[in-house]
Amino acid sequence: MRRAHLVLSCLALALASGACNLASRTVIAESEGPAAMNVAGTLAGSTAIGRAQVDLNQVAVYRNTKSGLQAVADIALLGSIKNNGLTIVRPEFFVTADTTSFTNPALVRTNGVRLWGPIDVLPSALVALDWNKSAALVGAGGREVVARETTGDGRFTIYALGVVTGTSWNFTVQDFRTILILETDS
Amino acid sequence: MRGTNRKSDRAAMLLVWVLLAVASPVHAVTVGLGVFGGENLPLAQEDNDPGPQWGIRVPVHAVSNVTFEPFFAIADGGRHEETFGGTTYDRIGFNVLSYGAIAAWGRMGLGSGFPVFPYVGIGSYRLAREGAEARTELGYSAGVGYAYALPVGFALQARSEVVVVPTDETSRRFVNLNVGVQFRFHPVP
Repeated sequence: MRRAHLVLSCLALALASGACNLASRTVIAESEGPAAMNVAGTLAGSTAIGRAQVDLNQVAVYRNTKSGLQAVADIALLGSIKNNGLTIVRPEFFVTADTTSFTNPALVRTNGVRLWGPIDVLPSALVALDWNKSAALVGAGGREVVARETTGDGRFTIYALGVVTGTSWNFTVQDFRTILILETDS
Repeated sequence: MRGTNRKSDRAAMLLVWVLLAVASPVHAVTVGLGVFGGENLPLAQEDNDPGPQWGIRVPVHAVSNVTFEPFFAIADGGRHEETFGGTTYDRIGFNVLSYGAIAAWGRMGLGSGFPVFPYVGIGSYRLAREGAEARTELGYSAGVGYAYALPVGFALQARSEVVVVPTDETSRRFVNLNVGVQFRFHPVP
């Protein structure tokens, strides 16, 4: 009987040690981007890149949970990508810390980190991004930047770029949004 | 992360073996085998919906008033639907694979006695979902069950439990509601 009490006491202590996290919860924060971002270029150079300046402080869910924000559990980019050309395009997204306004893809690649992709979009195709597949396309480096900025000042910038697959590329990112699953204890 | 997972696995296994070792027989050992199924309900998780749960368990009554029970369970979180900008998206829930042991106050249907039994448990919980790195953590559970003995060694059980899986600074928590059937083998002297 004494041994049984010992075992139950040990388990109760272990249970209590895990109970310190009982106030936490996960919430979904959505940052809406531009309705349409056109990305185009030729081998001679880029003519347009997409840019979404994210300020999570404008998102009510983020503001309400920021004081207890502990981690970013999940990141996904949603919307759809329309290939406006007649060759395959390979869109990808980069992220920079803070609010930036680069207009040159080379500067974005130098100063930013790849956040997502690339994926292939067939000529004239419209690809609706799936939440699960989009989350799987987020890279470790970009995830780290977004997580750091989210737990910091809540500001970062996402750029849509095209990977050169032919002589030119032209696609539009529509209804772009950044979806974050936040772990918070407030 | 993988190092942490292995450490968590080892800790869970060690605890299970310690529990079983401490429960060295002072009486005849009664062993059962049970299967169960039910519902896994995420608590305070906007990104995870309820899903089915099933598993097996092996109750061992060796200490007066206390029954130890190793278990193995799988739960699938449901798809969580959310509408952004007029379009509905869904995020697949966690697949939770767990194993460990509980200690219950009572005989859990392995013999005569009060049918209600409170219990606490510990185990290894692996949380995986598409698009996220799977993580394995040590988790804790507490619950209460009811056993209804049937003829020839069978018993029906119903249980409800809370599971807490600490994840760094926060935790994932679930409520499991399940029913099961168990068979009692003859006591080993």
